[in-house]
Amino acid sequence: MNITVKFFSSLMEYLPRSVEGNAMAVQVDPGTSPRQILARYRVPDEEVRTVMRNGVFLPEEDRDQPLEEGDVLTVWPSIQGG
Amino acid sequence: MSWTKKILRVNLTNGEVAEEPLNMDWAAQYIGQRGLGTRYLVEETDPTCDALGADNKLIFATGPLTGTAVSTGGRYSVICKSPLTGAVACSNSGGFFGAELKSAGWDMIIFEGKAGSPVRLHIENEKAEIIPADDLWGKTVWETDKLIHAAVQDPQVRVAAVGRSAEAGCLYSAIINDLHRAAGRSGVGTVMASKNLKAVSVRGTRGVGNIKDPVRFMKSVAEQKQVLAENAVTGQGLPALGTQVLMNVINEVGALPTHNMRDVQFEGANNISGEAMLEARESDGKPNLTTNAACFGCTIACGRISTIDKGHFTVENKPEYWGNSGGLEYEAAWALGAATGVDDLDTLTYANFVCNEDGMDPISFGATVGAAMDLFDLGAITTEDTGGMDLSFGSSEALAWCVEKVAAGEGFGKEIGMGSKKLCEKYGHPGLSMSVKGQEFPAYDPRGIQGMGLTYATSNRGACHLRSYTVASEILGIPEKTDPLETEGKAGLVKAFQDATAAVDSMGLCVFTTFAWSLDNMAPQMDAACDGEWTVERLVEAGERVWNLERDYNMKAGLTGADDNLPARLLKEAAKTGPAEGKVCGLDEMLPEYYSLRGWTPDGQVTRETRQKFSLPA
Repeated sequence: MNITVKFFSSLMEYLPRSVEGNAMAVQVDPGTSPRQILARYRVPDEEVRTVMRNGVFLPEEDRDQPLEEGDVLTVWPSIQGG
Repeated sequence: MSWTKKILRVNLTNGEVAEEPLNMDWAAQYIGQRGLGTRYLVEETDPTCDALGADNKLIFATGPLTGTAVSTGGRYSVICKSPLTGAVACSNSGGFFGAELKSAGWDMIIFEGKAGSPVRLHIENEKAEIIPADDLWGKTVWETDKLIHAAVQDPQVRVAAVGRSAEAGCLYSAIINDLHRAAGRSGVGTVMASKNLKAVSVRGTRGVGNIKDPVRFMKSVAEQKQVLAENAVTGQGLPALGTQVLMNVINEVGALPTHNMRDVQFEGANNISGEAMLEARESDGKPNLTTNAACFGCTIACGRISTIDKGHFTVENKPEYWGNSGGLEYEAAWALGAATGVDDLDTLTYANFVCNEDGMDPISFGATVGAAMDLFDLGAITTEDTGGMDLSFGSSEALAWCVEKVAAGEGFGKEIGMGSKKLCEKYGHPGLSMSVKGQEFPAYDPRGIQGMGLTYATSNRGACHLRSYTVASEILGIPEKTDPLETEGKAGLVKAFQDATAAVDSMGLCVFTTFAWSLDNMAPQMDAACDGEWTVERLVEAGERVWNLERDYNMKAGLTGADDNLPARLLKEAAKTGPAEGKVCGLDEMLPEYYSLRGWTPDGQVTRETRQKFSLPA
C-alpha cells in the first residue's frame, strides 16, 4: 500500500538523501505500523516525541496499530509553541 | 525585597518628574509588572477615558524577579487603556530594557498627561530628565535608537521607542526596545505617541541586589536552570528552530488560519517554516537564520536573528536591510504569511524587519492585510481605493507595499493601520474581521483547537494566545495531552492557564519557561527573592485576582459578556480540510461553564462575592 511519511525539524536527517523537502511517498506492506516505519528509517526512539496520523496525535501506545492506504504519518522531535 | 520599592512618576503636561514609594500592600496582592501595573491603572484612570487622550496613563512596569538571576527574568510590561480594543492593554517585552530599568532602581514608570511637543525621557539611575525630541519625531525606531546612542555616548544605554506608524495613528503600534523586541500588542505604542513621548532611554548600574535570602535564592536558581537545560523543549527545541517549528505542526493538525480564516491549512506552510529558515539560499548559499539569541538572563535563547537575500526585490539597493536583524517568530510568520497567502520567506522577513523598524504589531498588521485581501477578492476594496495596488491573496508585492505604507502612515496604509475591525466596517463587511474586542487573532484556528476559541473569546486584551496557551496541552501534550477537537473540560483548562499565566507575567518571567516549569518551579525562586511567603497557592490566587481586576476594568470601560464572542466565520463555517473538517468552534458549549468556574454571573459580570474574595477595588 502507498503512504506518505514526513519527518520534520532535526528528524529530517533520517530522510533518504534523494528526498527533497520533508515528505516522501513510500510503498509498504499492508499492516505496517508507525513504529515499523520509524525503525525502517532508523529513527532512534528517544528522538521521537510527537507522531501524527493524518494530523491526529498518535499516543505512544497506539504506534503499533496498522496504517492504511493513503495515510500520512508525520513525526517530530520536541516541539514547542509561541 | 527584590522590588526596588520606587516608582518614577512623569507628568508630561507640566514636565515634572518625581519619585514615590511603591505601594507594597498592592505588591503583596498583585505581585508586580502586569498585575501591579494594572492595579495602578485602575486606581488612577477612568476606564471610560479616551485611550488617546491626556487622561489615559502609560505604565512601564517590571516584576520583582526582573533583573535578578532567575532565568528569563528580564521582562517588563506596558499597561494602559488600548486604542484598538477599548479594553485594558498589557504588552510584555523581553530584550534588555526591563532589566536595565530595574537596575537603575525603578519598579515602574507612570507617564501621565501629554507633552506640548515631542519629548523623550532619559534615566541614569536615580536621575530622570525630560528632553525635547523634535529632532527625533518622524524618525524610525532604528534611527531614534542610533541618534540617542550618539547623543548619550554610552553603548550600554537601552532604548524603547515608537516609530513613524505610531505617530501617524496606526492603532496597533508597538513599543520597540533593543531594536527588535516588542511590547507588541493592543496599540501601546500608539498611546505613547499620543502623549508626544518618542522614546525612553535608561542606564542602570545599581544592580538588583536586594534579595531576601541570597544563598537559598542562588541555589534555587541554579537548580531550576538545570531543569530548563535538561528539558527537550527549552533545552533543545526552542534554541534550534524557535517557535517556528510550529508552522508545519499546526498546518498538519488543520488549525493554521489561512486566507483570513477561509481555510485551516496553507499549501505554502513548509516554505515559511522553521525548517525552511535553515535551508541554504541558492543565491549566496546562506540560510535565512543566522543564529539564535537570548534576552537578559535567559538560558533558553529562542530568539531568531536572520538576513534577507540581498538580491530580493524587497531590499534591492537598500543596504540598510542587508544585515542581521530580528527574524520571524511563528506568530509573525503566520500573520504575514498564511493569513495573506504569501509563502515567500524573504518577503515575510522584510515585512517583519519593517514592523520592528517602525513599530507595528506584526500579528494585527498581517491579519489586517489578510482581511483587506479578502475584501479585495470580494470586490469591496478595489484598485481605486488602494491607489492602484492589486491586493490579491498571495501577492508578495502587495504585502511589501502594505508594510511600507503603514510604517510611513501614507495613503491606503492609513486604512490598514486602523486594524481589521474598522477596515471591514468601513468597507461594508464587518463579519470579515477575524478579531475579538477589535484585536486580531493569532495563529491558531479555534475550529481545530477548541480551547483556543474560549481563550480568544475571554481574553481581557482581545484575541490573544498569550493569555492562556492551551495549545500546550491540546497539541504539545504539556502538562498533559487533551483532544484539540473536544470542548469538554476546556473551560477549566482555560481558566487554569489564564490564572497561572497572569502570575508568570506579574513576576517578570517569560511564559516560555512554562514548557518546562510549572509554578512549582517558580515559587521557590520567588519565595527566596521576595518579601513574604510565596507558595504555589498564593501565586495562583494572585493570578486569579489579576484576571478579575482586568475583567472588572473592562466592564467599567463599557464592555459586556456579549464581547466574549467569535466571528460568525468560526462559529458557522466549518473547517474544509484536515482533522477538523466539518467542525466549527463550539464556544457556546464552553462559555457558560467558564463563567460559572470564574464565579461570574451567567452574562459574564464579576459578582460581589468574587469582588470581595479578591478584595478588588470599588
